Amino acid sequence: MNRRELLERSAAAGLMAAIPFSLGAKEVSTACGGTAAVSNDADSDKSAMPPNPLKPPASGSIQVAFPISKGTIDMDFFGPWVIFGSVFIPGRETFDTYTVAETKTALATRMGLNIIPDHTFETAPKPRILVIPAQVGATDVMLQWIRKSSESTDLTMSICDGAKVLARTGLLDGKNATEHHDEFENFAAEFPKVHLIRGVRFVEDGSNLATSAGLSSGIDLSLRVVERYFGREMAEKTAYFLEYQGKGWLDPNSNSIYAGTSHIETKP
Amino acid sequence: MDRRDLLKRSAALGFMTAVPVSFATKSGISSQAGASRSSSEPASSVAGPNPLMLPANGKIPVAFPISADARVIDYAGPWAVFEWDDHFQLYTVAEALQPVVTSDGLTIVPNYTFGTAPKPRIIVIPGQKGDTEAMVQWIRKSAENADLTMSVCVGASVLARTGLLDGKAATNHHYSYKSFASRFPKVQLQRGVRWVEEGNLATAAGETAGIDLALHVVERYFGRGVARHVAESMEYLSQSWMDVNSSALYAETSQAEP
Repeated sequence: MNRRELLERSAAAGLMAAIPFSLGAKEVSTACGGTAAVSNDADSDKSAMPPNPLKPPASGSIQVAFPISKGTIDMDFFGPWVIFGSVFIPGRETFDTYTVAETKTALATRMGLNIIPDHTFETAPKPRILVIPAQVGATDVMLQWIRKSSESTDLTMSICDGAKVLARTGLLDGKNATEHHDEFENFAAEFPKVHLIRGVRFVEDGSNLATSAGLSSGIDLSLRVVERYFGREMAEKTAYFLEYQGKGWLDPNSNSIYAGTSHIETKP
Repeated sequence: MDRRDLLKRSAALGFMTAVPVSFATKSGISSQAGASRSSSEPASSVAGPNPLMLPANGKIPVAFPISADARVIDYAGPWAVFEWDDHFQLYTVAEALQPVVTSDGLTIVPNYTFGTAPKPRIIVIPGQKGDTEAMVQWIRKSAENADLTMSVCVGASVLARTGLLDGKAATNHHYSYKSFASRFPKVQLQRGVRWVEEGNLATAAGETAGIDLALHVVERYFGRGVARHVAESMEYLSQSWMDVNSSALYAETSQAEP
């Protein structure tokens, strides 16, 4: 695959459809308050920026750090890794992904994939984006590093049960957040100061926080982040290149089937 | 997330829908035994039109041969699907146990070498650039006893190198249709399909199509109800894994290629 020519080709394919804007951070907050969400009217300018755009650096790449530990849930981490690694814009760097852990010793994910971390918490470059996957090995050192790094990130985002790691930093206190549907009750009990939102694909709250629902929703939140930096058309091209057919990234409310309960068997 | 009860729960669901005939069967490419199952069987145990037999005991070993620049989505997509069922044993295999730098710098220490890997029942071949003759030979030999040898994305080129696809239908990333067709003229390239099944071989289209083919493999072993449950547990909203024709929009893409 010669990805350098990807964009020209995708543009030639002319498959981008006009899609109305989805909810932004403000609307999600409103929805939490029980008021009907306000959506912007469809905008025919596909290169227009979303309601809460992020500003890419003038040059160089956007550093994306993945703090990991033993038992990291594979899907949480792969999805965003792949999305951020598949954004190609002629003439500029986009995202640079790397893993960070306490040591550079190989660690096994939940399903036994042995990953050698690229950096330790001491040596990691300053991230502009933090992606926190679900894991059971998050230590105080990791929490401190997340808390400190988040002072200067564009976005600190959790995937799935990674919301618990993020919540443990205290950064989510008083904010809206979501989680894997199976963990709603546990999360709500453990973090009463966080406003848990059920049945949303992702939540954006505060100036630099976001939480996605379960597993594959990390793909969607990542596409949403691509949109916030580079516009919807670029996010569409990335999804097209990846032959990704899910549409959840276009609509935070697309997870409504999971809203009612944490027991999936009642929601066939 | 209590995944241990996955199968038990799924069996209790009973929300099976009619399983459409897959592309392979429809097109006459594949005529695997078991295309029609008795409709009197309990819905929860009905596997797809070309079911795969579970081993009498133990997990289903799934091998992922990897080398330099293996595409993360190609191996991680199926890996994440098979993760959701404790019936699979997942492992990476490479020429040596030295770290392999896969796409965008994810560094993996392989679980086994080609000399030490357990015999797989499923082989998942991701797109990669460091595929050697040793890997090609290992795939060819292991495929003899595997339930299924599947490629994802440009991993089809590695599978094609074994010669196993000669005279058979296969697909690939839409971006590589043209180069694949010229490099492997004996393979009948199918454009605009999500995946192709050929006996004990299968090829997925680009990148995320590996997720869909893996869900389809879960369906072939355990039935659609379980596959749907796995997809729901992953909160995977896309329906493309239930429709081999869901990649139709890519059918003509290669015409835009220079």
